[in-house]
Amino acid sequence: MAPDATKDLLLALLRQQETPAEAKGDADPFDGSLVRLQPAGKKRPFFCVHPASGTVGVFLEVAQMIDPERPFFAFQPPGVDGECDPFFDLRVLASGYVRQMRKVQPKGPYTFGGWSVGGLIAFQMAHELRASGEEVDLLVLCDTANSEVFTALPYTRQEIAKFVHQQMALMVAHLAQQRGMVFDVTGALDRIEAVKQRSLRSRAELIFELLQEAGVFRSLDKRLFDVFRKVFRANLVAVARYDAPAEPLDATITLLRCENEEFVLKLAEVTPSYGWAPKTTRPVDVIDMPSHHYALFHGDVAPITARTLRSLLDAADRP
Amino acid sequence: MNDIPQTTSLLDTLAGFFAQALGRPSFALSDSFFAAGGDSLGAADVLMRIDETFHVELKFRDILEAPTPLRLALTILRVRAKAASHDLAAELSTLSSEDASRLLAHLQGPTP
Repeated sequence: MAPDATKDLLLALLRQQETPAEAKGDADPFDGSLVRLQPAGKKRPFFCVHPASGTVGVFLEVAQMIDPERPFFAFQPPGVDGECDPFFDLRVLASGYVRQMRKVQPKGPYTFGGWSVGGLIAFQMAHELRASGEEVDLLVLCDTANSEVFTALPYTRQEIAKFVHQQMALMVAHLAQQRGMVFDVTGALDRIEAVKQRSLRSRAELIFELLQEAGVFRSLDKRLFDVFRKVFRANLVAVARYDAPAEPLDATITLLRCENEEFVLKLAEVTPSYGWAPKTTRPVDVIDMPSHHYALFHGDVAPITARTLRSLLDAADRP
Repeated sequence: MNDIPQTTSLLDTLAGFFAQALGRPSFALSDSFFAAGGDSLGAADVLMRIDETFHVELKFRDILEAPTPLRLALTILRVRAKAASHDLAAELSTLSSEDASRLLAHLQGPTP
């Protein structure tokens, strides 16, 4: 084919694919939040909320594996592209994602969930949907604990602090490991423990210092580094400030529980539902996953997580 | 003519960015960055290189929704056409003939 004819045909095809420009109304900061990780298929979509990092690329592997007939959409928070400041209010995030979810699927019943921090946001979304009369057929919390348990249960402050520090060290270790780098978890833990002033700010600063040293941020420029740090910190603050509704949720909570036996809190022993039982009117559906918290969507575990989500979604579709 | 040399292959350059971010020698045009082990940080690295080379600021969602060099090239063409508020036709004129053929083959899908 002559070069000009090729380009003409290419242009015609691209024009066919163009979507009409969206009506310019009041700009919603959440308009860029919905990411279509797996857009194909006619089944009811599954929506999944980001972890503390705010990034949703982590879901991509599993999103492609669940079911080619079922769309998988992820939510990422405003600010993740550095175009605006992130939000610090978990209820605002939940409302924003519900608005975007309704654009794709105007009416319930809905099937959605979230990983880690995202599970807590999904829980608040379920409350909002139920309050507006919508049904929730599936709410999956991927290794998310009700954040109230950390203050309600008889842990000492030292135990809670140790738990938070272990989480931080393990997260950095996981990111480093994924890049084939060696990371000294014990050494990192010692340094985290040595931080005297344990404000959220100093925690976030130290996490990023460790990430830089581990080589995880080697290739990033300062601007992107700051964007990651801001979003991460905003999400942690949002969780710390979140006050869950007092009344229990009228929907079934499904908890994917990871094997976190290395953690000091022994959460699964103290509260098998990770503190969710009093937060719902129905029994909590607990599924144990052969994974630690940070590996749930990666590598060997990804197909298992995908299979689990697929059977939960298929079951939710049955009348 | 145009200020962008026609001999530069957008597709090969993109494949090169993918390969660099993943620490590999090469990268296939129709392979997914994430299926190949890329993650958000690697994606950020690719986006930064795209910005430096093609002066177009893509977002994370762009590479998540178009994770192959072929699909991301189409996104770049669209975003650049929009940013410069000129026509897609003008943007396509900057493509090398080989890139145009490869993108056309991609859009037409596998021939039976």
